[in-house]
Amino acid sequence: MPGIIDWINKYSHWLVLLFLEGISLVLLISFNGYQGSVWFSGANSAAGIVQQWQQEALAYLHLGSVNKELTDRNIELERELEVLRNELHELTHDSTYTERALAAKLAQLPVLPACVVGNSIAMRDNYVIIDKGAGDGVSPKMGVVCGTGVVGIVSQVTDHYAVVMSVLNGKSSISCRLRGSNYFGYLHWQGGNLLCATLDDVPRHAVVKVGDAVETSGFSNVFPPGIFVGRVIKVRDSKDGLSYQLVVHLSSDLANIRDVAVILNNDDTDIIP
Amino acid sequence: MIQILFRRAGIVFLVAALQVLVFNHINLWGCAMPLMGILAVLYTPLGSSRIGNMCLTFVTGLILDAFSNTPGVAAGAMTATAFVRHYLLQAMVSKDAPVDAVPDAWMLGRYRYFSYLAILMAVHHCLYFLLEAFAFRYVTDLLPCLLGSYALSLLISLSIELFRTSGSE
Repeated sequence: MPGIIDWINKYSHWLVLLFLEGISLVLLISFNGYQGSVWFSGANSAAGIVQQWQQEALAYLHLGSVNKELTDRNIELERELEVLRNELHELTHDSTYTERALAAKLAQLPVLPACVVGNSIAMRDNYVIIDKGAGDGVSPKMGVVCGTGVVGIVSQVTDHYAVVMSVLNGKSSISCRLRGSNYFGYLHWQGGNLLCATLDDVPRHAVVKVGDAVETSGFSNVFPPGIFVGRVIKVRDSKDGLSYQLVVHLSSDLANIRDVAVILNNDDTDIIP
Repeated sequence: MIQILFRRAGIVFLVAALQVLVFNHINLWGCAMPLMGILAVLYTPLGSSRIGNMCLTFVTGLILDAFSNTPGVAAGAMTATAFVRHYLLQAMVSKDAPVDAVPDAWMLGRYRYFSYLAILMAVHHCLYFLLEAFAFRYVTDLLPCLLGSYALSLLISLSIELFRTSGSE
């Protein structure tokens, strides 16, 4: 306390100066219109700057909660977007494209409907026997399809029956391509899963992704181009590493086929038994 | 003591009357007006109270402001000038000078007195015009008025001092 009094005594003239100058400034600002307006505009500017600093500092301190809110909001919007995307997909996606394309393709071809009377699936080399033969215009190396895709190629014929080397035959090799590109390979069945085959010799520079559609290439007249075969479910390197080997999920369940159609043509290429 | 107070009050009212009745009506070149309020504290003795001098000039400034319609301008400028005066005299006058000595040309010498007067007048005028303008951006516009007023005030102060000195001689 004595220290404070000493300090006040020592600097009393400064305190008096500040006091009197304060009074002068109050008078100046209060009773002079111009100085008052300058003061208040300057004070407003200064207060605005200080408040801006304060707001920025507070905003910085609250960045954590803001970030959390934004993250929550982002998650919510992502979910909403996913729902809307699914709805849009359901409303606009034409899931029957493949079937329609296949039907349209077959409608343009001279085909002979037939029924499956024999079908093996347990062998390494499986065959399908149909009730149409040479007497109906069927000849070897004609393609056979069903409503969902490729079945195989006619191997042998009798007057009323034909033996079809199905896709599930180790000797079958059908030229196929990736839909939307000209990269092609040969469809082989490796045994095992009845719904999986491989598309070999696809060049490594081909852009392939899971889900791509595989269809016949049309490099021969056995199968016209564009007949759906299946979809890529896995992309892997071939054994020699020089190409891709695509695992294809076959669209045709050959273990459960009844009605097929023979594509009537006289060319004898494509099959490599 | 009472005599001193009356004397100081007389000086204050004399200075205020001169400023309000005479100097406020001198307006050379549209802006140069002598500011002579500082005379109220110019000749107070060396040993006079610093705080008392500030209060005296403050009151003088208030009176001038009241009659000049410039509330706070003269009071603020003159109070600060009185504050500076103390340090200025400390620098100019030796410590063994008598406390009742009046800082005039006879006591300080002509050149030192002129410096004392010029510095105090400069401080007073700068503060006065700055408070009047209340913004630094107008300083260049005010400079001719400031210099004109300063020159006039200095001239009048020197004339008064010359009159005082010749009267005392």
